[in-house]
Amino acid sequence: MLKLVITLNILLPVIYGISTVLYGRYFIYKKTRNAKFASILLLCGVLLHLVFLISKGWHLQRFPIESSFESLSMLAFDIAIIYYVTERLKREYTTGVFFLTIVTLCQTISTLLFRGEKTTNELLANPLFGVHTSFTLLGLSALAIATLYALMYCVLARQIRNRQFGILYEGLPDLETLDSMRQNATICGIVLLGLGIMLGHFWAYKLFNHFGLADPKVWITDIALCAYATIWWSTKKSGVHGLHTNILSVWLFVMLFVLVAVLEFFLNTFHRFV
Amino acid sequence: MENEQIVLVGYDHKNTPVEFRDKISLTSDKIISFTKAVGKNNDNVREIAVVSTCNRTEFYLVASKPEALMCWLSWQYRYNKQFSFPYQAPKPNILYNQKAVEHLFAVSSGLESLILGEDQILGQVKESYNLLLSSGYKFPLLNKLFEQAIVAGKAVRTQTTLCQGAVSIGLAAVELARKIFRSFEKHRILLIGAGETSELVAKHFASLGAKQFIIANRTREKSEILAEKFGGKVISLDQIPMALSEVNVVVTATNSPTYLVGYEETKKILKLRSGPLLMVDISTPRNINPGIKDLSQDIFLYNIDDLRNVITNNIEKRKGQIPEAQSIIDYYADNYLKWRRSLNVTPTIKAVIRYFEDIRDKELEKFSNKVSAEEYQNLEKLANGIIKKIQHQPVVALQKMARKQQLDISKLHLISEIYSER
Repeated sequence: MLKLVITLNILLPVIYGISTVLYGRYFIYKKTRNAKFASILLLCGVLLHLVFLISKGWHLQRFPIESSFESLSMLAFDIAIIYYVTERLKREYTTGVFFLTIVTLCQTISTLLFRGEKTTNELLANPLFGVHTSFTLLGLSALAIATLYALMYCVLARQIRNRQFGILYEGLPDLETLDSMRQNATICGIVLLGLGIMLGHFWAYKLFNHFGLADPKVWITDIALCAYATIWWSTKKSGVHGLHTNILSVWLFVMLFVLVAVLEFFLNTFHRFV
Repeated sequence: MENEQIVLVGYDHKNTPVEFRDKISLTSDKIISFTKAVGKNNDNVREIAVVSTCNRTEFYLVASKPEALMCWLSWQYRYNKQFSFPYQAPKPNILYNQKAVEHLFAVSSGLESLILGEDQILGQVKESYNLLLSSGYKFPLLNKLFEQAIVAGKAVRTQTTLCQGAVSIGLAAVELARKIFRSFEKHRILLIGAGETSELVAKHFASLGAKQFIIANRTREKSEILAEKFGGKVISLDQIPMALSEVNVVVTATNSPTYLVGYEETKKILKLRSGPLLMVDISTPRNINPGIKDLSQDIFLYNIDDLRNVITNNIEKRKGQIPEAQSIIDYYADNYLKWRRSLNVTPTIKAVIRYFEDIRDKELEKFSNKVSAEEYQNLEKLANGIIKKIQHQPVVALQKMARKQQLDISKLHLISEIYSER
């Protein structure tokens, strides 16, 4: 099992790396062959990554997110799979280079600092925890992807307004597609994060007889989810779209990120495992 | 066959004024008449294909006496089109073999077009090829030439960006719109003005799936004609502000000396709408108040100068693709010429094979009545094996030399002479 883990650990950054280069070539040269090959390679990467995470978890007898470097690999997987889904929904390959760069970086760092040591953390060994964490991380990754799409929208809209017909103008898809991909990623994020949070509360109640609301990180995530859901629902209902909704999307994620980062830095909550 | 040459006689926008081009341009029927004249056993001209568009009329011919071609062509014009070449007719572009092949490939790629990288020409070359195929006559050299020209044209279009980027005002407006909207099926387009430019813009949008046009013009009849053509409704000029609330694209192309889309009306209307609004002002003087741009971050306003800049940039980008396109053309032209050379050597190869097979047959005949059927079969197998091995070396050498252009006609004659029937 360890041999498989080590092999996949080396193979994953290579696959993601090649896929990134191909997406990059597509972004610049717009040769469909590159995009199709990159997409196939990404799918292979995602499937192998899943095998890697399962075999790693099996080998370690726990959910593989104990250290930051393990979490990076999980993050890479989450971004890769959510991006793949949004790409397939719109058959739009031009933004792949941005997401795959992040995926490759995360996985490379994780690979370089990989240690196959077994530790005994009861919390991480619980399978329900794995499901809760998977959904939460997937949800957060989807919201991060939605934010990147929103950011691309803002940059492209600015370039179009200012008549800067540079490489981003040439490479990125149209504003409507970016907006639609952001919406798809946001819906994915709301659903997955919602499921993750619900499972988390349920699990906390089962283990500690309370919903875990004492942890500020939990209620901030709860508030963020409510905010995302409310904004998504109200924009859908009123038909409002365009630059403002994209700016709002960016700010919402930045606030969530900053708040969680601040809390992570200053407070030692139960979401620490080492 | 070895004396036959591929010749191009071409009149195009570079060497011929439009008046003369108009006179010599040929319809499909006339091209078929020219083809028939060649197909019915012409001594000099063995094959013919014609590319006739508004910018060029070019004759691709396979002829043994190229010097007599102009006479033949002028006679054909007199006979088929009742047109006599004047004494001071413009001189055509005459190219032979490799140059002619490269020229056709450059034409199909859009390198020779008036607007560099123009897209229509490939379709026109395809049309010429289809006429060639439907003529019913066997024109093997030109069939292959046109087939390869189409392949080369497609390769240039897929492997380079020579044909990408708008190079006309109408297309530039549509190109900008495509950077904002994914498709136009559900979007409304407001055309202010119903002239030629508006029609062209409507045509480009319609080709991308736009179905909902709103047309505003001073003369209602003109608007109605356009609305009937592309589908949509007609409004008067004073209904423009209200229309702004329901459209996604506004294009103005009129001669009006005043703003038709004002600042205050637009400001009021913006409260009723959401999402990006593309406004393209192709009119001179401008018809959209330039201050509107600052009313919302979702308004993208362009005037004719912006579109001209887009076109200039695109033309520069296309020019940058010429070397890459040229190398693709060279590759396909080289392939075609190799194939052509291999045709020259084919009769000689056939002669070599026939020579050895004759020897085999004659020697086998000596044993036909002397051995049993089974033994004869074995002998036949043995003889075949030996003959194949002996002829393999000269045949491969001939093919290789043909590919490397090491065989001229005298050498081919000499080899044919050596292996001629005894």
